[in-house]
Amino acid sequence: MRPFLNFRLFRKFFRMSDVAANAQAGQMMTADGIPLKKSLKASLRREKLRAFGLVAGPALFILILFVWPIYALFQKSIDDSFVNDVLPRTMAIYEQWDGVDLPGEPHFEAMYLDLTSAEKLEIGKVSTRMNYAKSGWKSLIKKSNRKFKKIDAEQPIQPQMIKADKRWGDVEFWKSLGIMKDRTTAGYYWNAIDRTYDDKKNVIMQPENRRVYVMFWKRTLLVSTIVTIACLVLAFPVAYLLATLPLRISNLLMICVLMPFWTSLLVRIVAWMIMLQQQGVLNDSLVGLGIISDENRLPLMYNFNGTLIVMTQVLLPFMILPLYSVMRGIPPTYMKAAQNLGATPARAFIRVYMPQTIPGIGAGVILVFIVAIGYFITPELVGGKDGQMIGNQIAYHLRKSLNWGLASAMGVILLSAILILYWVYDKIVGIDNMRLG
Amino acid sequence: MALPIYATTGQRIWHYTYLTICGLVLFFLVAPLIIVIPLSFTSSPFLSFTPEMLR
Repeated sequence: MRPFLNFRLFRKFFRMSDVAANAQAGQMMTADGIPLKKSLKASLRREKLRAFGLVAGPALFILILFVWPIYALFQKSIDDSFVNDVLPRTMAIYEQWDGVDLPGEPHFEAMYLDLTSAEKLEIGKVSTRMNYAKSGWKSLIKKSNRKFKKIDAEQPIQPQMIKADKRWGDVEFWKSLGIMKDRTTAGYYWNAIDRTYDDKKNVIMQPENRRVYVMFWKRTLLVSTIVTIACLVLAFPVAYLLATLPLRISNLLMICVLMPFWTSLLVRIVAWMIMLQQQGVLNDSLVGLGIISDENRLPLMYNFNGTLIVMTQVLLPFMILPLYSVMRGIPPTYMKAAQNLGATPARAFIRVYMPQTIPGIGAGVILVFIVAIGYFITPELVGGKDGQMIGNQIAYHLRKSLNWGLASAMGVILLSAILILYWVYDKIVGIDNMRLG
Repeated sequence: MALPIYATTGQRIWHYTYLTICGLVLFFLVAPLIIVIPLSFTSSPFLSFTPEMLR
């Protein structure tokens, strides 16, 4: 932030001298006869350029590595120009159709020409997109691609196409084209919250058996909240202990906090798998000690519990470190003074000590929550079926189903959720109150 | 952090409970690292503890 600051200062300074020069316009000249205003302006421009040069590198870096990818993500989530590009003739005359009866010969001809003239790869991609609007499109186009070779372009095309596949005579398929006729769509966003378009482009709920994402959103929020609270509850006493112990001992204990932090995430996850699975260390020990019977082994891994436990352990250092650094800065004399003035230790702790740790709590909570909400690798490995989060859905659509539009839309929603939370946090606690260490 | 001599019984109990809690949390943090070390010597193709490890 330094260059920006200097730049501002320069501007402020020179604006003030501009005012001074204006006040005596026409009188002030420099030694070599140039009006002072002009000379000042020249030097101001030089300073401005230099300041800009200083920030140009970082600004370009941020632009290329942060702004552009996010813009591309957003672009991808609303882009729907593909169908228009591959089926230009069909889309051009689509408006002329009344949308009730089966479309006439020109529409069939346009579709035939589009499908036969487009590249095969493009057809495959576009049929995938069309399948999102109405399932069946993909197989219909695939089949038509083979059968269209027999069509005689001199004869009327409509009956031949319906003969090739009777689904071409189904008005529903033609209606579903209307959803895709605009070059941008909010459809992916609706899809990400279990809504969809009907053929008149009204937003309706998905069929009951296809509603999944709202559940994933809810679970993501639930897991992040629980993990954040658990981290806070576990980290607070430890941070306090580390902050109040003599430096010699606390540095030693600090290794316990930093060691997991420095260890590979995968190593830690695998270790948790070994410990928590049904035949794992923990369950074996509990059975061995006779606390639980052999049939009632605790289900701690490959489910919701697994995600919670492992995520808490992974994110705990993110809470301890800011808390510790804030607590180190609190003079112990405050607590002693409060107790001297008659407060019980508990009261002194709550009324005097706790409020001073707020910047650390805030930093830790926001750090843990934001990292947790987009977590992917831990739920993927230990979450099993009911411990999956929205990050896993994004990964699934990126890698398996290749529905990048939906993945991007989910990413944008996640990003906006984080920004909103950040804004709320700023309103309630204040960002400048945050201390990361 | 040392307990003052004038601490009451309640304070003593809380102090040691508190230290236990901290110990447990720190153990929770390092447990996966501790478990990985013996396992890296396992001879079986799966990640499991074998009786040979005890010898």
